[in-house]
Order: sequence, then structure tokens, then C-alpha cells
Amino acid sequence: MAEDIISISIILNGQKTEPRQVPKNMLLLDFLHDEMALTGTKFGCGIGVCRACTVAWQRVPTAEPVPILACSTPVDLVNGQTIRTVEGLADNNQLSKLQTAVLEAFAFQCGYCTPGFLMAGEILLDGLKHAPVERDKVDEAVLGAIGQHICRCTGYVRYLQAMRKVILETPGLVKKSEL
Amino acid sequence: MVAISTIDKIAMPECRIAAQVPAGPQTSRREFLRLAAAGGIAVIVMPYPSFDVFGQTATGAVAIPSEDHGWMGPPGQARYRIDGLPKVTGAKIYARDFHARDLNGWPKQEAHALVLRVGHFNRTFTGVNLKILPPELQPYRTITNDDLVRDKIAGLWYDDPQPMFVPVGGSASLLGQPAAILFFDAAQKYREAVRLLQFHEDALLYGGDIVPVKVSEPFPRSAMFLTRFEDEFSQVKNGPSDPNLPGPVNELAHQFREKIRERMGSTGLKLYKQTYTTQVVDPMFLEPEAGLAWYDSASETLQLLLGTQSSDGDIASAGSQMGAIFHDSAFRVNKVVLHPCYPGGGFGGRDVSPFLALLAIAGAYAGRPVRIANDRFAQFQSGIKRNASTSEVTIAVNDQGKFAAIENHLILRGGGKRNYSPFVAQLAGFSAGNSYNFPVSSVDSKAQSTYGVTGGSMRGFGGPQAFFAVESLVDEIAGSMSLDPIELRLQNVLHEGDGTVTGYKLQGDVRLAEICKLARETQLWSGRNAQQAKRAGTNKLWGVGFALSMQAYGVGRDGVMAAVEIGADGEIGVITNCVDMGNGSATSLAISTANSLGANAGKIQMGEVPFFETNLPLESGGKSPRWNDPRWTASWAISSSACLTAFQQVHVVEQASRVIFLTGLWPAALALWGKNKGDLKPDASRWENGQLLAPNLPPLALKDIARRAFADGNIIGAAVHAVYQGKWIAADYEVDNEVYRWPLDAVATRAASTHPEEFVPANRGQWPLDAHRLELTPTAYEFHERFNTISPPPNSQNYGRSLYAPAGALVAVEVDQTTGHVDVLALELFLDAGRVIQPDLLSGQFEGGVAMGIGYALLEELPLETGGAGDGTWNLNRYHVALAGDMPLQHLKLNILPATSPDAKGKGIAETVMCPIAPAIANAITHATGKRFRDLPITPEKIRQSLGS
Repeated sequence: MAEDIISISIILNGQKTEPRQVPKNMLLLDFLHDEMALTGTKFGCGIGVCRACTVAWQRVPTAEPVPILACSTPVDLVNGQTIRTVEGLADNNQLSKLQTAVLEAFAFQCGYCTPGFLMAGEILLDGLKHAPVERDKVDEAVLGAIGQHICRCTGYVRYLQAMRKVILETPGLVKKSEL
Repeated sequence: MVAISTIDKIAMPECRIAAQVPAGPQTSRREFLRLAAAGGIAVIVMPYPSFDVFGQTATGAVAIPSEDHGWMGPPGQARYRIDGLPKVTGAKIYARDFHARDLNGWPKQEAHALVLRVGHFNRTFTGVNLKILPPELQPYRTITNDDLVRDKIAGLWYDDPQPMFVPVGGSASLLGQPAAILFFDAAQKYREAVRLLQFHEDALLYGGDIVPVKVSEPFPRSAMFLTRFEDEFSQVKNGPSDPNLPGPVNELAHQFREKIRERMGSTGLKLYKQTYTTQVVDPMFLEPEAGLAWYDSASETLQLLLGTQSSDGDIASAGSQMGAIFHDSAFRVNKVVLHPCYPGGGFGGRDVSPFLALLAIAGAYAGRPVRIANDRFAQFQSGIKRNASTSEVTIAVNDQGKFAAIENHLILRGGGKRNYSPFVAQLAGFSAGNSYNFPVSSVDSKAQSTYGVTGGSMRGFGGPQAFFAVESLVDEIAGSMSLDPIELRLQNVLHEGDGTVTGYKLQGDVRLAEICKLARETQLWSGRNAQQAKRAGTNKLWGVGFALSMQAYGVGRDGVMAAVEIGADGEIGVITNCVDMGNGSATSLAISTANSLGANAGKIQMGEVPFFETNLPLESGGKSPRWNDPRWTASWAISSSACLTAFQQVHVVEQASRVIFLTGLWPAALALWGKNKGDLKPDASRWENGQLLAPNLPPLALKDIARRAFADGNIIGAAVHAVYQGKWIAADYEVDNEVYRWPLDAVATRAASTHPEEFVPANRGQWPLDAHRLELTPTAYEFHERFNTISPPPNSQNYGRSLYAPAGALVAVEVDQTTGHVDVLALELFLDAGRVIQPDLLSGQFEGGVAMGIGYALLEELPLETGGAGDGTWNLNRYHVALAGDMPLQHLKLNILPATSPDAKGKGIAETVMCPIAPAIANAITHATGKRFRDLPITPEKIRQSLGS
């Protein structure tokens, strides 16, 4: 199986990781857990349905981050590329606006799905910086980002509230209304 | 979600191990107590991760911004969950997050165990086919039932006579039964093997087809019979009865059943009889069960790390079940060390899960630390399920729409293992009359054995099955009699003084009529026919349905405990055995100190058990109550449940706070004011903004009072235990030469002078987990023996349940005639929650309950046996739970009935918010389509068939 071992290094939460020799078919989720000891990205279904394993991916650092499913993505496919996980959201020990909003909205209960929702939400916020949304389309945009995510504890209402709040309160994410 | 059985400290389930572990001088008091409890195996529980007021996570990864004052709101309120920060930062708190390398003192190399399970019950299992794996992927060890037999491992689980593993050469007693465990020495090797074996038809070898010998019999001791005839005969009055057995009470029950039949056949009554069925569903908590085990033969110690929803239950299991499994085996186990972790959801499915025993057996054979991490397929194949059910229900009604009698035969279909199915059937029986006043009733409920995956505890615990049947039939009666469904309910709901199916007479206003009236007044209800008419001629059918549920919380005899301590700086800590499954218990309990102490607790230690065993030396169990014995209690503990926080767990935190206030802080305050005891009563004071106020006296800051309490050696800690059985057991206690009456059955206090430098909550919950730090500091608590104990009400042991949280759901649906798809467009819930502890947590429970109710009504289904979860092919690609798009996000409204008094207590609502959702949806679909659906889930296919579309 030696021929199946490859060297992997990614830009993880802003830091380039030391090269790791891992099996070619190792999944990104297992890479994060086993090689990087970052377990914030969660395993829920393993087949890309529940989206608890959502992380942000940029093929090149200048690209817009997009969500990918770490449970179903071979790490080889993102070798050398940029990955952001829930552990990378707080900046210098300051929670992101979305982390704070999710906390204050009591958006989650057991919290196991939370990293996936946060990553999908953060990616949405990033996208809205470049393509602001109409005020009356905010909920639609949020549901477009998290509509496939599974939360078994809550009814999604509070995740929606938290994300709506951040979008509405962050300058530049909502199109200015025409006078 | 609610464990029906209470956990007795001494009277554990039968344990066959002899007490061979010497309780020598090296054995701590904690261990000694464990020895007594577990019948020979010492069980040591490692601290649960704790969170503190300053927001430092367990891993110390992220601190709350300095301008942020953390989770804590004003006294009695929270800004966010106390356990919130680790959950938004990805900290390690779930069992799945841990590996052997994370635990101090463990060997770093871990094995990975793959459990192979049978997918057939009508074929002989003959062995494991390892030829599928190439040489480099072979497991280093494989065990089957042959190994367990050879090594004299019982492999049993509770009192189930069937072995845990399928015997080689035998057939399975349930689908998904373990056949073998394969041990791999590297994670990647394990993963490759899983890919090759998981769906391979020939991974397990089978002989010829056999005729299954098992028949669907009730589990032993699983049938319950409730017979009530007005005030003449009932369980409460006459005791439990079985009309099919001999004996005076049973024969009387038989006679009264005859009278009930006569009554139901009498002139002027019309009988409505239907049969309703519900499906198997999976709790689908998002973290599949995972854990670590390490058996160290040198020290004869087994360590287990897993997610828990019940520390007490897991400890009981670890003691008694490990004793049962390893007694006389090739593996000597003298000590079990449990490392509980926060559960990634529970919903009851982790309560007495067989996972613990499987993990222990894997641990014994692995020869090193071993990890079992179910994937979702394995979780579906092995995890506890909500029981399928059949309810054959008959209601007798007079021509005015008044209910005269109910007969309800409930069968709850469990899997091949008994587990909690009999208790689920029992609660279904107690729920068989739901919210209505039936002067006479006849209820049978039983749990049936099947070849399905094990059924047991899941949110609702029998209530959802019973309520779907009764609420559907009530609507059918209304339709048949051309009555408004809410009016019919209003005529028949229970009021104070009315009896339930056990004959328990309700105390206090149950507010069901109020709920009906509020629902009746809504535009949704009053305009339902007009809305329907508007859509006439379109492809969309509109309908509105209503349903009630009167879900019980608690188990009828609820033992609970808590401790509160205050530091010299006024910082408060709470210690509880309760586990937070995500329902918010930790937060709710942390803010429950505010009433008596004027501030929230900054620290909370969850899932704590040894502390209470040390400081509250109570015995429990026995044939007869011994309330005159101050060291006896009727119930030591009940399993953690989301429903037990608001009433039971909050009670003990509030009472412990009250004890500290009266015995420690109040004397300190008097001293600061220069007053004597007789000058001022505690009730003349009140807390405001962290200051204690009293007429014509200067405000006192909590920290100043606390400092004085420490200086004077006053009481600064209280550990209390309480039992609710029809009411809170109360007794007198003498503390510092003063007698107090408290609704508690045990009290211990700690004076500041005992260990002034030590603050108990601060020295627990250390991180990282450390297997070597096992000793408990000597107790600083003084136990106060109770006297003048007020026993529970007569016959309260027969109430069944006496605490209820009534709710009514109003649902609007739209049905697509072509596709059969149902959209839930609007939903309102009317809820009697008593006093609301934290509104955000409560409404979060409601919203989650709605999602789960929608899933139960419309989406979720697992075939019970063949083709069901036990075949190992189920995952979320075909088991659908509610997504955001299934929810009426913009039209979801919770109407909480205002508390009836400032002193009202909170109610356990986690289950009742879900219970009426499915029947209300079913009733709405009937309103929309004119067709009745008596079988859950109501799928598009069923609707299309019914509509002929």
C-alpha cells in the first residue's frame, strides 16, 4: 500500500501545516481529527447528508470560500489548498459576530451540529460581502446556506434568527434600498 | 427520555459478582460506597467537564471578549447557555472527540473495533468471512460468542436471557445483534476494512434457512392493566390488578371490567372503535455513539469513556452490569473508571444503551485501549428506537357528546431485547385516556418482543403512541357527530378533582379547558373553513387540526439531589447529578440560585454522583417505606431527562440555596446590620441587583454578606436530597439549634470553618481528564437527621403519574393532491409550563419538539423487522428528519399560559411540546382531505392512494 501514501499539507485556519504522510484516500474529516487533532468538525452521517462536517474551502487563497463536506472529501483533493474550520473562526480569542449571535440566540442545544451551521453561515457572510442581498431576500439567502443542514434538537428558528441578525447588522451585506 | 425506574443505591439490579474486593485501608470512602452499591466492583466517576462564569472553555481555547460578562445575565437570567462557548468554538467535549492519547496515563496506541452485526434472523450464523480482507488488512484479533463462552463472559444485558452476541451455529434473537468484533491496530486499516466488509453480503457466513422459533410474546412482566370504575374501583384505591389472574383484587378488577363492558353497551351510548398504529423511529441524535475502553489487567481496572445522558444510570450499569458480565470470567475486573462526556444529543436513546456493555467487552479483549465509533449505519442498526405501537381504542359517548368510558388496548413493539420497552408500555398505558375525564376506563398495555432493533426510551416514552390514537379518535367522533372538535374536547377535558385512568384525582387546575378556549379563539381555527373554501377548485387542500396532550413528567417517585456552595467572594457554585443533553439544564440550574442568594451560580458541576454519595449517606429500596428512618429514602435518583429540570432539579437547587440563605447568609446579614434573630424575619428581606434589602436598613452586597458568613464560620454549603411522590416529602431539620421545615428528605451542610481555603466546585472538573486523580477530599459536610417527616399521601405509590404539563397544538397544513405532499404552514402551541425558568431555552425546546413531531407525523419510518434498521443499510439518505424547509419558520407561535401565581413551579415540558404535534397534523390532513389516516407516518404515497390521485 506504500504507493497509496501521499504527502499532504494544507493551509488550515490560516496556518500552513507541516507535510503529513497519509493514505491517498484518507478523508478530510479523518485528516482533521487524526492528523491535526482538530475535532470541532463533526461526523454525523458520513455520506454528506447532515452537513455537520461542513468546512470552508478555497482552492486558492483569493477564491471565495465555499462549503465542502469533510466526511466525503478525500484530503488529497484539497492538498495545498485552504481550509477553515470552526476552530479558526475566533480571531485572536474574539468570537466572530456569528458565533456570538448563535450563542445569544440560544440557537443550538446539544451543539453537535453547530460547527456545520457556523461554517455554512460564515461562508454565506463572506459571499454577501461581494454580492449583497436584498433586504427581503435575507431569509431566503440564509435558508439557501443552511437549508440542508440537520439539527435534531432545535427547529432551525434560532439559527435563522442569528444569521438574519448578523446580516442585517453588518454594513455592506444588504443592498441599500433605493430612495 | 424519562426513565421510568428509579435508581436505588443499594437495591441495584441483581448482580452475580461476589464482593471480593477488599475494602481495606487504601479504599476511599467514595470507593467503599461504590462497593456497596455495585456489589463488588468499585466504580469511580471522573469529573464531567465544567464551565465557569468567565467563559473559559474546558480546553482553554477561547476566552470571552473582555467587555463581555459571559453567559450570565441578571440574577435569574442567562445571556446564553452556560455550556455555549465550547460548542461554538469546537472544543473537545463529546465522546467522539477523544482518543487514547488524550487521556493521561493511558497507553497512546489505540485499537479500533469493528462490530459486525447480523442482518437475518431466519438463518443460522456460522462465522465471519475474513477472506474478504487482504492480508495487510486482517484484524489482529476477532472475537465471537465462542470466545465469550470460552472465557466465561456472560455477555448479557440486564435481565434479558438472550446472549448479547449471536451464538455461532445459532440464529439471531434480533436484527442487528452483534456477531463478532474485529480489532484493528491502525485507524486507516480499520477504515479500509470497513469499506470492504460493511455492505458485503458474505462478510458474515450463514447456514441454511431456519424457521424462527421466537414468537411475538410480551416481554416478561411487561403487561399492565388499569381498571377504573368511577370511585368504586381503581389502581389508586385498590392497588395494581390483573383481571386475568386469581386473587381478591384481581377478581374484583375482573368483575369491574364486566361492569365497564355493560356500561359501554348501555342504552344512550354510542361506541366509537378504531385501531391506530405508529412506526419505529430512531432518536437520531447527531453524534453516533462512540467511546473508548481500556482494560488494564495488572490493576484489574476497566476504564470507559462515553457520552452519557444519565450518570447515575451509567454508574449503576457500570457496577452491576460489569459485575454480571465479568464475574468468574477470564478477565478480573475490580474497578471501573467512567469518563462521562457531554452527549451530542440523546432524546432518551442513550438511556441504558447496550453500547456500554459492548464497549466493555471490546475493552477486555483489545489488549490495549480500544475505540468504538459507530458510523450512522451502525447507529441505525444498533441504537435504541422508539417502539412501534398498535392502539385499539373504544370510546363510549352519549348523544350530547359526553364521554362515558374508554377501553384501550396498547401494544408497544420492542425489539429483541427487553430494555425499557415494558416501562414505555406502562407510560403509554398511563397516557391511554390522555386529557379526558372518563368515569370508567379499561386499559391494557404491554410490550411485545420482536426481531427488530431494541426499542426503549425515546422522547415521549409511550406518550406519543397513546396520544396519536386518542386524539385521532376524538376527532373522528367529532366528525361523526358533526361537532366542532375543540368544542367536543372542551366538554370532556379533565378538571381539578377528576380522575385519570389510574384513579388519581388531579390536584390544581390542569388548564386544559383554558388551552381549548384559547385555541378556539384563534383566527387559524375560526377561519379554517373559510380558508378551505378559498382554495376550492385548486390542487391544494387546506386543513387545520387540533390535538391535546397531557404528558407526565417525572416517574411518580422522583429522587433528586443538588448542592450549592458560596465562596467568601460571593461566587456561587452548583453541583448536580443531572446531565445536560442539550436541553439547557446546566443553564437553568445555574440561574436557579438567584431567588434565595440574589445571584446566579458562576460554576456548575454536572453529572456528579460521588459527591452526593459521600455527603448524603442515604439508603434506598426495601419492601416497605421507612420514612421514620432519617437515613432512608424512597428513591435515590432518577435518570436524567430533559423533563426533570424545571420542576424536580430546580427544586433541589432552590432549596439548597434557601438552606444556605437561612442558616448562613441571613445570620451574617443580621450581624452586619447589628440586629438579633428576633428583630427581623428573613421574609422581610428581598434581593435586588445583588443586594439584600430590608426595610429601614442599608442594602448589603452579597459579597459582603458572604465575607461575614465566612468570618463567622457560618454555613456556606448545602447538599440536599428530595423525593416527590404525590408531593414533596417534607421534614424538620435542626441546624445551629434552630428547627426548620423544608420540603427535603435529606440535608447536609458545610460550615465555612471546616475548610475555609477550599471551595468545592472550584477543585472539581479539572482538565484534562486524568485517570490518576481519583481520590475525593474528606467530607466537610455535616448530615442533619430529619425528624417529623411527612410521608407521601396514602396510595400515592399507585398514582402512576401525578405531574402533568398540558399542551394543545393547532396546525394548518396544505396537501398537494397530485403529489400527496403535506406542507405544515402554521403551528401554534398552547402550553402550561408553570413558571418559566429561561424563556429562550423553553421556546427552543418547543421549536425542536415541533420538528420532531413533524418528522413523526410525516417523514420518519423504519420497518420493524425485515428491511428495517437492523439490516445495516439505513442512513440519512433515506431516513428523513425535518429540515428547515419542513418547518413553518415564519408562522410558528408558542403561547405560554401565564403562571397562576408568583410561587408557581416550573413544569417539565420537553416532551409535551412534541406530543400533540403529530396527532394535530393528522387531524389537519383529515380536515384538508376528508380522509382519515390511522397509520403513521402519513406519507405522500398513502395520501395519493387515499385520494386516488
